[in-house]
Amino acid sequence: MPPSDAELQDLYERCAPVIYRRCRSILGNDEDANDAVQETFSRVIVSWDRFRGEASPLTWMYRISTNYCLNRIRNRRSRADKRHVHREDIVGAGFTRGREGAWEDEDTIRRLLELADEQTRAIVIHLFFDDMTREQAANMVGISVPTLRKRLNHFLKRARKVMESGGVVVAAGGLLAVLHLILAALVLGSRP
Amino acid sequence: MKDLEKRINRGEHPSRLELGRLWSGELQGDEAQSVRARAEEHPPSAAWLESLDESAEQVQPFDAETLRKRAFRLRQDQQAQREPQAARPARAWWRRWMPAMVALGAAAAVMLVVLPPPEPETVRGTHRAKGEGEIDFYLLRGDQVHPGSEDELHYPGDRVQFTYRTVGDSTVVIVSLDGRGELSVYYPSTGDDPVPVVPGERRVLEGSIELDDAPDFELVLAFFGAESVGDVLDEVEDILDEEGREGLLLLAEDVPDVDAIYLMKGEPGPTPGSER
Repeated sequence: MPPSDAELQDLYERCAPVIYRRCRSILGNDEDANDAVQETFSRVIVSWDRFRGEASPLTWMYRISTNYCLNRIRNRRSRADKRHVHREDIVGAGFTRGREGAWEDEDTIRRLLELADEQTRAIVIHLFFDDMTREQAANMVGISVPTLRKRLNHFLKRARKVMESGGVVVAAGGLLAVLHLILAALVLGSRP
Repeated sequence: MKDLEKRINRGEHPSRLELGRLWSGELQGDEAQSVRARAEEHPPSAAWLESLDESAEQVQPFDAETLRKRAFRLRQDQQAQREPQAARPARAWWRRWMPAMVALGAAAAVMLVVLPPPEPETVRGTHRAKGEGEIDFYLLRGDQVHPGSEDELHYPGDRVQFTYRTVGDSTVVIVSLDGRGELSVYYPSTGDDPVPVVPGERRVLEGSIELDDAPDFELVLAFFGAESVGDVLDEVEDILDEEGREGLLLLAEDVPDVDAIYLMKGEPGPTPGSER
């Protein structure tokens, strides 16, 4: 039997902000976070009978929204970085000129997440976004703690390499900035 | 990376799931008190709890009708997945012919080695007999907008806006393969759900795409009636792995619910029209 609007609204008001906040942190934008909430609650409606029997409805919703986030990350990985999609039209009713659509950069862990396999991504999400202990994360993913540790170590090793290669760029940028300052000081100092 | 490892919770503070359960009222009595006390001793946890109050203002307002509609579509999708191929006749048809198409692709590859390169029009197939869906485009170059054509060269900075035509209510996913071999999803701009489309002549899709400096070509593929972006990407990647770009062109030629636009790319530099 499907939930009544009142039941659904009560659940939404109690849990939607939690799911939203969590997915906003994992996915990095409001649009995807709101879509994750809608998807999660649609699945709650579809599986209502099973859902009502859950000891912790929010834990169940966490699992559902984890799957959503993993799918989104998987699709992002397949989408090359051709971030030139404009929000505005060039013809039709929505046509305005001069506005530029901008895509936000993803932070370090989100970028690192895209390097990992599906199960490792779930582990990383639970450890670094959900702030779970290793035991809690292993339980959520359904693996043993030693397996989790092994996968985590592999991920951290790979992440370290990526971070180090990124660090080279930062170091080079810093060096250029210092050279620029020295040059500016010399120019100013040579003036009468 | 040591720092990242150090960030892992060793049980000294509650997880965000526990904080969420507390905030949502799922935890009661001693359990709730214990989590609250641990959160108060850990500033980031306390801050997370506060941020949940703010999220209540930011989350999309409750709309039972929208949720029920989405749940209905979800249930339909689940049923369709459970049912055998009959639910997806178009896909089933071309999947059955996939081995033949692979063989045809291989034969075409051999012919490319033996024979001189075909005329560009032969490869591109500007007009196709389509039953399910077609895409076309407008081009903005400099300050001039005009109907796009596969016969002209395109340059970095050109902007295209797609139009489509379908015979019934459907959905579309538009992906692009460029001369660097990079695959991008243009529509939907976010999410895994295809963009809904309605029947009619030359309807305009919202938003436009700016072409980048990838060389040689940009092959834009529209999949009408696709179930998800993930499905489309899986198909495209499979075909690319097995047959390369030719396989994608063959797919667009032969399958009514797939259409393609082949944009030839010119050398980067001043583009005709942009200097005006």
